Amino acid sequence: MTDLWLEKELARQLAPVTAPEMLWDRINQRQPRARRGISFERAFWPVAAAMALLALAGVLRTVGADRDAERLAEQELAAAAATSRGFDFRSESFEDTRKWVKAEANIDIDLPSGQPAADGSAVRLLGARLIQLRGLPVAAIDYNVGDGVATLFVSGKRAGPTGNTEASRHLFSRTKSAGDERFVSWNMRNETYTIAFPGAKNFHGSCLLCHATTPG
Amino acid sequence: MVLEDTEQELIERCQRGDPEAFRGLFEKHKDMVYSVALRYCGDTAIAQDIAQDTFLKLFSTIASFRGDSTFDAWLYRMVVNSCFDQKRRARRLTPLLDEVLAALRTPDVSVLDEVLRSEMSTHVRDVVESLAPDQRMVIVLRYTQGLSYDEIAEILGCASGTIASRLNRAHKVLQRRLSRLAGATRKKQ
Repeated sequence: MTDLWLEKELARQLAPVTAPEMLWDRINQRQPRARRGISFERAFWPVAAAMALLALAGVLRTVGADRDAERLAEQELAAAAATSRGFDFRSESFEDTRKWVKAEANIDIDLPSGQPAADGSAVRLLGARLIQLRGLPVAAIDYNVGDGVATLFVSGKRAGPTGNTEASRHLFSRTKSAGDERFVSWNMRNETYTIAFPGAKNFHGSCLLCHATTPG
Repeated sequence: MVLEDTEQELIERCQRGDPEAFRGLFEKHKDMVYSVALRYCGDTAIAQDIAQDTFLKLFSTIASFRGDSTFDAWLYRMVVNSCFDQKRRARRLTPLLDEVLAALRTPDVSVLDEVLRSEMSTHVRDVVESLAPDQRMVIVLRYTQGLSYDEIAEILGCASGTIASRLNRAHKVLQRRLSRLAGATRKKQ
């Protein structure tokens, strides 16, 4: 065996390889929050959203919610851990956010296809994240409304009697308050939508995410 | 030089905590880090652990990088140390069988050729993995990354003569352990 043969064989067998796609996700999930350059304000909202979800679960339990809502209520503890990761996707674009959620969780959120509507200063998307609640995917989308930040939770599509097949109609199941948080939930196209909004003053403003004018 | 400026800018942005810069630095160096890790340990799962540890260490200590050595040498030292720190896990047992079965399913090639080639490929990597850690790392840096003796010496913190000596010893071990299989392959060809 010659040195040349050995060197060629080593170069061939030990050639460089391409790193797997998932490597960044692994690293990104393990990075300390401060290293990811997340400000206090940005770090605060996921925690606030988790607390809002916990409060939502309590409200839903009290009301005796329908089956979809019950599924959320049963799984609130898992959400606390999941929502502490911050945004999985940052964008101000409705279209990009919708595409991302569709691609990542197969949840087709009924967001407008254009950019933030009519009064552009009223609503601004911040980002989205995915929460797994005992196998049920939930997309959480944070957006600025006026001085506050609202969160739209959308649970995954499934077959069942609770959904409304008419995209234009909401089947509102509840509007509740818990402390300083207000919640509104509805079913639409076999998906459950819940908006959590801090403060009662301009709650209907949170509807501006999808509607240019607030409902009466 | 533009490339150096770009990397220097990335490093400075990382030092200021810019998350996009971390991603940029990762994209630039991920293949190098993963290749060294994989060729050193021979296991994809362990290699991902090593690469992850390396980048987490990089991101947490980059503020202390002052440019006393090149960034590449600094990063190489990190991945080398992560490799040395990583405890070896269960050896890879199934690939040879998988490759033999794959060869048997391929009608257009000589099954024996394919088996011998598979065995040789696996055997070369196995023999490399059986080398002492310091010899193995020299082999990986030399043949996976194509580094010079001087570059390897800077990374490992020893003299070029020491690197030459380790490579020489590693070659002798590899030649001895691979000679029988190489003879069988050449005879068949």
